[in-house]
Amino acid sequence: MRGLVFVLLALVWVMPVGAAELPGPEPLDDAACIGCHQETTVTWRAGPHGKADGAGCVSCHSELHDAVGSQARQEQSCVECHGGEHGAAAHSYRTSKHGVIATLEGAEWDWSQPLNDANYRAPTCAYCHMHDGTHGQMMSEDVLETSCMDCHSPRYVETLFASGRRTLAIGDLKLAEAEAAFGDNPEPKFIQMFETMQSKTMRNLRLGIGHQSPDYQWWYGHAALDGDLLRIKAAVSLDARKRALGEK
Amino acid sequence: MFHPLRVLLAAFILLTVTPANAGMDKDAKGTGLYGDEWRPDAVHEYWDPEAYHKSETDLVEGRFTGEECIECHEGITPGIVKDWRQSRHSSPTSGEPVTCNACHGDDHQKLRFPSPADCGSCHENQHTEFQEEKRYGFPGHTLAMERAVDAKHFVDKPKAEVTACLQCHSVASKCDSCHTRHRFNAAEARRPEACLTCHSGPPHPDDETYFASAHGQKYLAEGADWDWSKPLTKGNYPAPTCAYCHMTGGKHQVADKAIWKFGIREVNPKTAENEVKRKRWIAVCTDCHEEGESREWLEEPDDERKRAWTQLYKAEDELKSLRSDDHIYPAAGERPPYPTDWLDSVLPFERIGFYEGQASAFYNVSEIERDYFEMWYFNNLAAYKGMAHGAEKITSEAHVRLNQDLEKIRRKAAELRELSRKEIESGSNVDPKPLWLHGPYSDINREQN
Repeated sequence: MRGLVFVLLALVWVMPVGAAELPGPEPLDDAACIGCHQETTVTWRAGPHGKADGAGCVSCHSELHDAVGSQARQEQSCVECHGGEHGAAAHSYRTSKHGVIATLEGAEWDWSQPLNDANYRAPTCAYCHMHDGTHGQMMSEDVLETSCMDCHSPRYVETLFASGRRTLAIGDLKLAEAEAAFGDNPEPKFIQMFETMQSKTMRNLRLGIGHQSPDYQWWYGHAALDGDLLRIKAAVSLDARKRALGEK
Repeated sequence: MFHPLRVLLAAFILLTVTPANAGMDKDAKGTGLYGDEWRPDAVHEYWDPEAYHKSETDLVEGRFTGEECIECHEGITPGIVKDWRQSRHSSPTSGEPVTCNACHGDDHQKLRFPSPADCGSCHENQHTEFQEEKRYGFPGHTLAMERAVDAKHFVDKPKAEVTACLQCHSVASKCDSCHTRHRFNAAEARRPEACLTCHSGPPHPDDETYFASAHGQKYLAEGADWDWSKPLTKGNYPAPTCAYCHMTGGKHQVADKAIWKFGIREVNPKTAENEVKRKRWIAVCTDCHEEGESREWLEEPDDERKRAWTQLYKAEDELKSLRSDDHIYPAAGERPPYPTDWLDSVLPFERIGFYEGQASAFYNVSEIERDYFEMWYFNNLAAYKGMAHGAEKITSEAHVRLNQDLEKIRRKAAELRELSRKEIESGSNVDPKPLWLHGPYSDINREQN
């Protein structure tokens, strides 16, 4: 019996859907989308949006079947979940040259074009992270690198990626130095300072590199990590001096 | 928590992910005052192509016409070809199209990135204006690269860390900072957004202050409908933009009216030279406003700067007094010196204030010195930019922060004095060196700069 149910389910899974069965104007839910868009569903499930706390079809595509791609490709469908319009993810992109071009020209672009072949004068969230329409590995460096090469030479892209890795590695060394500073004295205050350095400032640096925003690489990134590092050291120093005086 | 393996991995990446770059000379030296002291990162070839870019020689051989370049690159890098097709270069109002080989050369083994001088071979006036900007000193665009590489922190820090500096300071070495490739559109460069990739953030919130001003609000409401093909002259735009005021009439200079010098140091705004600059400002403002009104407005930054510098000098005095009483912890000899600063290694000295080199004193310093750096470089500059761009709220909020900074610095200075007094009394002495001199970053910074 179980076998029969499985076979029936498998049949439903692979059944082709004809044009005549396109949904009408009534609102859809994720289950309805998944019933037809099976290939996309497989890649979506494997990527970050397909996880339990991820994003379903209607989160980006709305509940209506009309022109859903054109809408989902635009930045507004991403920023609501990714920190809002003024959050670090959107702001680091908006202040990059790519983001500037999208701000100035995006309203005139044909958003029905697929996300490849430099169909957009500047890349957007979806152009890089969902290049070629992939719904899966949005943070995969392969996917991202491929999108850069629609406009930039492979040598330029490789040089920038390698340089970005080195810039991030230096950030990791600053984190390691901060943690080593309070190594044998992990007071909650030090741990909290360290966690902010790691989750906020280091993230800024990563966003600055990924989105090519000089401000996020430097002022909100490395120069801010310098401040975090010396403030952790200062807190540890003060603690040690007070202990030596018998004040703690 | 932070995994120790990540530290090993980070060190591995720094030492082994070597410049994946076919072209750049492995022995390439740095540029500027300290050029012998540092080696560029591979990516620097894109921020200062004239100094570092070398053409790839093992990819394609031969000489090509523009049409041949386009035939291949339409498939390889379609974006740049699409951009070029929409540019004036592809369909000029007179003469032949300007194709790839005009700017990059025709020999695929000797390709070059066009420098401002290359662009200047056709755009002669713009290039001459741009070069002549140097006479006004810094801040300005033409001297931006020199300013970056001559900074002590740039020389001192690992080059992969400070590449971000060059992304903006490369405005001196590439025209596409403002006219993005390969469309090179004058209209794009006239829009305020064209400036904000570099002119935003804590030390230069031009973006934030302009858009908060009445001028910026008008632009945000109506700017999309203005005709951006028009030159930057009287009557063409209902509200001014960055370029309208700072590059009056489209002149490729931004420094010819710089009176207050970014707010970085105190200036006498009433010198004869600054009177000439003030007249230039009044000439721009009077495109829309009355002359008397314009002159009055331009005196507001004079007063605002006085107020800001009064507070900054009070904070500097606190720090200098701590320094002379030996209360700065760690003191200059107890933390990494700047490798290129011989005086610092012989006679360790905390740098306090603009003229002593405070601009580089934002890392490897004590907390109170960093507090002063942030007061001076973030809140002071926000106050100035808000005033200059007509964003009163940003200026008044920044002045509240400047007062708070001064209070904080005074409170901390008093605490440091008290702590030192107790230590002297009790004979307690905690050596700062083990904590401040070494660590995974400080060690690699000393060796790998």
